[in-house]
Amino acid sequence: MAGLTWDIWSAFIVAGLIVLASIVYILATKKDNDNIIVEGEEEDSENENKEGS
Amino acid sequence: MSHEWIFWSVIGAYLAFLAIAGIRAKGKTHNYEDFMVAGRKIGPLLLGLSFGVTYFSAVMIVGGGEFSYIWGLASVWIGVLNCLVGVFIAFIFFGKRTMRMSEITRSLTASELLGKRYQSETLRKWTALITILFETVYLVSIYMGLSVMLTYAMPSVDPNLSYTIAVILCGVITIIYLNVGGAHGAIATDVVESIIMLSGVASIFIAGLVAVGGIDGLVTTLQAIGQESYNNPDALTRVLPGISPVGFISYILVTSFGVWGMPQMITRYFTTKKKKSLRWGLLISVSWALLVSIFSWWNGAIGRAYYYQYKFAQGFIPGTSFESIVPALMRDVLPLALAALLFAAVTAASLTTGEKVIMVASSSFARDFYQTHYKVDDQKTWRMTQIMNTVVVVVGIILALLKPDAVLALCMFAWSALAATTLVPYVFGLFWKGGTKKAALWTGVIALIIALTWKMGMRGFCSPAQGCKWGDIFPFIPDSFRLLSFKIGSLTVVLKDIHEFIVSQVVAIIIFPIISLLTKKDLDNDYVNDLFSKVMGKKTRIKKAE
Repeated sequence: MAGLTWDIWSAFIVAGLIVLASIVYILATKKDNDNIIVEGEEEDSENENKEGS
Repeated sequence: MSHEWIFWSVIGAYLAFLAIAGIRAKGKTHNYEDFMVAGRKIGPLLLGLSFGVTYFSAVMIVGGGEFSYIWGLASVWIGVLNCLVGVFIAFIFFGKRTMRMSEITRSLTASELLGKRYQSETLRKWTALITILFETVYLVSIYMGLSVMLTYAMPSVDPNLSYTIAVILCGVITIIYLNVGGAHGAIATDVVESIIMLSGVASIFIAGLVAVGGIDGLVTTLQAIGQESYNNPDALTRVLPGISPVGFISYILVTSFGVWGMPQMITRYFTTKKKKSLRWGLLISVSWALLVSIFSWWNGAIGRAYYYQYKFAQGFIPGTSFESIVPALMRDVLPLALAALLFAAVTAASLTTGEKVIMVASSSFARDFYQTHYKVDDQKTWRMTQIMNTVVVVVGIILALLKPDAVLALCMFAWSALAATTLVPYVFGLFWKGGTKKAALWTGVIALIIALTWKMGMRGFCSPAQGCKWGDIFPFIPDSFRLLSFKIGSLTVVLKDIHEFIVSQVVAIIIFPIISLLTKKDLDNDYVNDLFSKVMGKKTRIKKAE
């Protein structure tokens, strides 16, 4: 990998930072779960979380 | 080579899987909202991968190779900045607001969201019309992307025959699984398709890199090519690239920001109503997209080094068709089984983007024209969407097979047209209460006209087969004007090299607030304040849809 110059290398560093920033964003907004409540559907909300995961 | 049966088997098995997945998804599709946006119940994994595979089509796997052949290792920045702007920033800034606004207004299409945000049926119909027209054209270009790959995968079969069969097969299977499973069917298949895409581009990346002697061999060879071809050893190994650096920057801007305004990307956020899905979907989408794009954006540079080392002994002739670099590399460095995997990856990439494009086009007609005009219920609109799915695919197949010049020319423009029309009204509409319906409508119209005019007058609006003859279209524009240049730092920017999307968006960003301020008496403040308070509210409650 020694042949790569810093201007190419830094793209991989930025890629890593994007992933890191995504994780930080998840942690920082962990308590922010103010989903819209649809009247009559409250009881379904927990089931919806499971789908697709 | 008489191994075509392997590629046909891959297509057959893959398409059979899609048909079965669509039929299985039927059980989850009970109403029109389920059909259109998967009942807004998609979890983070499916949301993240669905966003990624919709963004990156075969155009990136094959076309990305073409550009990285020209620009070399600097192309990795295209992939990284696409992910930063088109995925990370889009998710964080637009995800929550779009998701909630679509749920509050019960929108199922991007046109409907815009129409309801600005309280304008005209805006809704105008955006829907542009969506139908240019998404159908975009579908044609997606199908046509298969042709180069087929030529290399099945060299002993008449390329017209293999292309015809593949396009018809892909179209028919898409009709089946979309019409039966709807959004659930499309999104459920995205997981498998994303794995195939990642495996395919990774396999050719690794095999190619090994073949050229690793990173060091790649860099050394590209430096030798740079010295020999451009008298600059850094031309293919540094940022900015030595060849067309303005084109390089322009390409990054267009592919990173343009995706913000694409209806098929906007509607990805409609498929969930949980912020948890958005948060984790962001991480999944960003991780997958970074891997796929970094691999894809170096394959062309690897191919260039490979064929230089082997002195083009294996049949790839540079200078005739750079878009053949990845298919040629597939043929020459991958074992047959992995070549079949890459072939499946390209097919998967075409279909995953294609299926969303089809749904967006057909629903724009059914939901935004048919239902609003005839006041029919969701059940009839659902049926009309299925009919339109079939119509759009059949039209797409016919145009992809006949390849009329006008459509080929439009293919080069479809992406810009869609993004130019939608982007600014969409983004301003999410954040600024002061945007008016007239501003949204006229900004879209003017941005499209500017993009079209700039394309025709300055850059060339023509079919690739015929060559670009912009001087014939607007002969009154002197070449000296097209070739006007200015400096930004050390870069010399020639007017005709600026992409039409960039020009249209600069104008759109300026005129949208101006028109809004001039027409602010049209603004229904109560409606907008109520909508924004619900979108940003902590405990927003809405009534269940009837």
